Amino acid sequence: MAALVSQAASMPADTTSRIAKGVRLDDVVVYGAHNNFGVTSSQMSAIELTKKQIMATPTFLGEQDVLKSLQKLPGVQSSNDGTAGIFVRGGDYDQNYITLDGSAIYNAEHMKGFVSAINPDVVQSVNFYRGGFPARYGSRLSSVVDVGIKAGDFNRYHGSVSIGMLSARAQVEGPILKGRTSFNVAARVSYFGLIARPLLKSIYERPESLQPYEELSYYDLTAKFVHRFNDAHRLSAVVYFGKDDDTNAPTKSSMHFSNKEDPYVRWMDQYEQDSKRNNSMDNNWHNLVSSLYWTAQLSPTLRLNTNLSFSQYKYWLNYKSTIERETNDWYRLYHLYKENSSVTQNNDISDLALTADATWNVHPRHVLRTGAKLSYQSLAPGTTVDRNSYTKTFRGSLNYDGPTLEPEYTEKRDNLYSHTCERMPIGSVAIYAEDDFTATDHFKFNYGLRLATYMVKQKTYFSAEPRLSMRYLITPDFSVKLSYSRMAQAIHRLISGNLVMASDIWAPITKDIPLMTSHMGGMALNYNLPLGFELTVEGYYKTLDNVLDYRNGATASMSEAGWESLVAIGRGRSYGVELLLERRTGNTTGWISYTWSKSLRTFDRPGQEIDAGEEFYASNDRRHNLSATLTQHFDLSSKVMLDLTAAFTYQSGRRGTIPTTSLFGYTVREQEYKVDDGHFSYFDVIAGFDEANLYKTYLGNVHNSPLQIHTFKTRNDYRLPDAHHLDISATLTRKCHWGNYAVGLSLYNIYNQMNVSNVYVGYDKNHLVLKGICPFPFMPSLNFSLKF
Amino acid sequence: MKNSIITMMLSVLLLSSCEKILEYPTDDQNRLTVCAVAVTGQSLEVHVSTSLSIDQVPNFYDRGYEAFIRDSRAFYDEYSLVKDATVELSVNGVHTCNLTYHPDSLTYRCDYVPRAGETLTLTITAEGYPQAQCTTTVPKTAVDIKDIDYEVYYDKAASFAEREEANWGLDWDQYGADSIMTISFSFKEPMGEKNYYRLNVRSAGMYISLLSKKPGYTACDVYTSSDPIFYDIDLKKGYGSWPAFFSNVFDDHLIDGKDYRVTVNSRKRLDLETFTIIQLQSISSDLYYFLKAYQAYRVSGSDIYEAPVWIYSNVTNGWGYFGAINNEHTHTIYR
Repeated sequence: MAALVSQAASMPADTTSRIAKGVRLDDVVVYGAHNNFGVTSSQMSAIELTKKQIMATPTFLGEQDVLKSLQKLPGVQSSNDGTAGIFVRGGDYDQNYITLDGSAIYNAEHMKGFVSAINPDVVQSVNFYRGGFPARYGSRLSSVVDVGIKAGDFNRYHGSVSIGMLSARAQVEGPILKGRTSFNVAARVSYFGLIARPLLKSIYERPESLQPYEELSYYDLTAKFVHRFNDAHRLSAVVYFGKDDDTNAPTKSSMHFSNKEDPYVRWMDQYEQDSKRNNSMDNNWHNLVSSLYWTAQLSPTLRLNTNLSFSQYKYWLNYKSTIERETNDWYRLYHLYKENSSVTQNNDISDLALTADATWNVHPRHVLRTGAKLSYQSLAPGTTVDRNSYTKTFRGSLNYDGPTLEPEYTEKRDNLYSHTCERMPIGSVAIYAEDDFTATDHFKFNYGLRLATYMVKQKTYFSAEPRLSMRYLITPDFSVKLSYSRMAQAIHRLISGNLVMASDIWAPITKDIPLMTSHMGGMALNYNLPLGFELTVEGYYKTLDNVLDYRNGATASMSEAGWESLVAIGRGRSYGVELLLERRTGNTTGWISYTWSKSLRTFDRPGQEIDAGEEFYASNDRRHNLSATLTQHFDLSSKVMLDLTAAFTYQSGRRGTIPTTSLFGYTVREQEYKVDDGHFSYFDVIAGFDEANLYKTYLGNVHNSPLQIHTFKTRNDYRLPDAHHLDISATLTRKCHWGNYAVGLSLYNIYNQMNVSNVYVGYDKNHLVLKGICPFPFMPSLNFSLKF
Repeated sequence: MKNSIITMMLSVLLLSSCEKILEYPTDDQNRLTVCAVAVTGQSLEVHVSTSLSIDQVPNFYDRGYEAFIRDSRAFYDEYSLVKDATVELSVNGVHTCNLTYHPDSLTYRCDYVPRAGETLTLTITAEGYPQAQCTTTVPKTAVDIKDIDYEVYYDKAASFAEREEANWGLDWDQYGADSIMTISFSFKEPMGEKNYYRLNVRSAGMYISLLSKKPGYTACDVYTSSDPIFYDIDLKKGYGSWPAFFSNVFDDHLIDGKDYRVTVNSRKRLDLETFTIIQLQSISSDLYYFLKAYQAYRVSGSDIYEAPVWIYSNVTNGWGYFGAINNEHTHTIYR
């Protein structure tokens, strides 16, 4: 039987196998998509990725990756090149509803996003929706990533072991009670920190630039247990736990400045300054997903699924820095500043949900689905700031012959400690109903309504979310589809808007931070072309309301006022055109996807304006996104197979804000005050309150005050260089009597394109530059796997 | 074989670096920078300078305020000031005058005095720069304040010796130890139109110079208030002597159409003749957005997670701002 299953795996999809009468079959593993989102379906903007497609996609260090496979689909972008986070149709990362067997996972990334948190060994399939959402899905605005975990074999034990440069994986499945109860357990552990760190440190030109990526490690465990009570009832239990540790080696930077060579500086104005800065960061997080899933086939036409799930996400980030700045000039205007600061951000999300879904094939032309979801989420975003500073300043009388008095210094110490963390619960109830209705041979509809209520402290929000998808079949191989969906979301992820480092604060709606909503309309043309090709062209327009962004100058480390006061509420819109040409069957498979899109934001609420309320590009705005994946399968003999895959990715650079221009000027003289004797008088404007800021008068009536401003045109105006790379993988598989083994060679970024993931401002020979981190140069890797 | 593979991989990796130096992004060319405020009752003055690539400029801010004043001024005069521009003023679409450069003030000036409701356009041309243009409208109405009341609730009884020391000595702490006064006043905010304001409260005093025996004046513009119209959440830190979350620039979204009464705390100087000047200025939206952004900018830059602060500009093909103030009413409290 095993041979039959293995043969089936390599058969074309339209193969028919005849089985002799009386032969009883074990479970048959059917590879290939089982959801039809193609020409005849009313569903648009959806695709199913099979495990085979995921495993064939070449990735960094040969790590097969669910989310990185999704990034190659139209409408999907990564945050940084090489990372696993997904941004769908102009939406932010938090707008993706990523589920493992129906249970939410909040941070689906490992190792700063280099690897997704989902172990591909246990994945059965991934249904991905980026629009035209059926009513059964809710709670996020931009996408649904519905990852199905494969049930274990009910009759035989088998599994796999895989060893790569980044991690080792093991998976085993089999019966607990033969024919009744099965398990499927998989685990991964990385050893990037053990092997790659010393290796890379010895060979990179600038080892110090690898410091943020040095000590990364993770492990995860996925387990699924299924018990069949009878043919109609089965109970599944899924547990996922993943943990990440990321401890950076301290980075040191120093700068010496002297203006002695500046031609415009008089000798008496010459001065020197030394600056030193040390930074270090500790970051770790874990995800826990657990669920009990009961499937009941109550009648031949009625099925009920009930899911009780609990998810937990904990995140902790500690950033420490020390600053020392010493200035000395001819006048002995000595100034010393020392600062030790520590900023800790932590997140704690708990999510308990009970879901019931019923599917009723009530009529040959109607498939009704209805269900309800009760959930309780608890979020506790917290920030702790501990900052100690010391200032020593020369004070005393001076004259132009130099200092004549004994030096006199003032010293000042400032200590700031603050801690904010409030646990904020959200209760929600949602019900939905949808009908997949085949009206005629040409017209097919999926229409539905989702009603949701979100209860937070002192306020309840209600959301009515109509959904509609329509297909018109022009010919059996050509259809036009239209869709509209309204979505609502009750949690936000706050991300700093700079290109240096993203923080990860999840926060709920509150009585003052309203429910985030979206409207999206789309149109699609689907063709079935000869030779098994499918072509899809889609266009969409999406609006977002009540999106959040950090206000001007806001930072999560300034926690005294709480996170709510740091954000502005605004709106967004995105639109684009997507093209997908794919071939799923035959020895040559693959797809080409291209997306042209725009994503914009506007924050114009009074008192919360960003960029004076003008519209600006969102940080996830990327104009072009091209991806091509081609896999060729060769049967070298009856026992040896070779799969070659090439994947090319091109993305416009992501956006961020960098001050580009320096302006010099003077705030102009406005109005001088007239005093009694009738002439204008000169005023010495002083501060007079705070000795430390004696001269820094916050001028209400700015009066010939010098300006030096570092500015930029608009927020997110700077675009990182476009990223592109070609990756190739080859997998040689040999069948044995006990299973098979495979050797894979993966060549990532084969022409060594230096794609920049993050930048920071630095100096190169005292010249201001941007230093781009390119963590993914050409990277060959080998991996070896056994399946038994 | 295994050793060969590792050797190959190491060889390839040796060619790689994981850090790439990128050119610092700059504007496509230097552009004219305008700093100008049209004030009713006062002839127009315009500063014109050039924007510079950020990597060509020393970071004066790190040098301390004294050095900042000294060095940035020198740099401005030498490298940024544009002295040979042609600055044309149009009022309500009609060319009105050309402004001429005055080296004493480093500004371009003309005798034209802006009036309420006028739309002023500056067109600036200079060799080597694209033509810059900016337009602002002087607010139509100047909201006057009424029912001024004040109370000195902490009266510093300054002795002559203290005043002497305050004016000439080194004890700056004492210099700022003024009396504290509370000032209240009302104003009627026009309904239905979007208005922007700046409240100036200047506490001033006269002293007699010991050397010249002539009067001089000191003043302090700092005041505080708990009124929500002044609350600015973007000012997360105090600056100078101004408290955090406080801005003297505000719009009318909280008070549109209301008869509103404001209370502020100011200082009464220690000097011989003390007085407080109050102006509720109606300002253009351009000036409002510039000042708001600039105030936020001055308290920014503390850590890497910080969202950037954008400086408003209404100059087409250039940088800077051209704002307007309707400043018809000034009230002085003598005490």
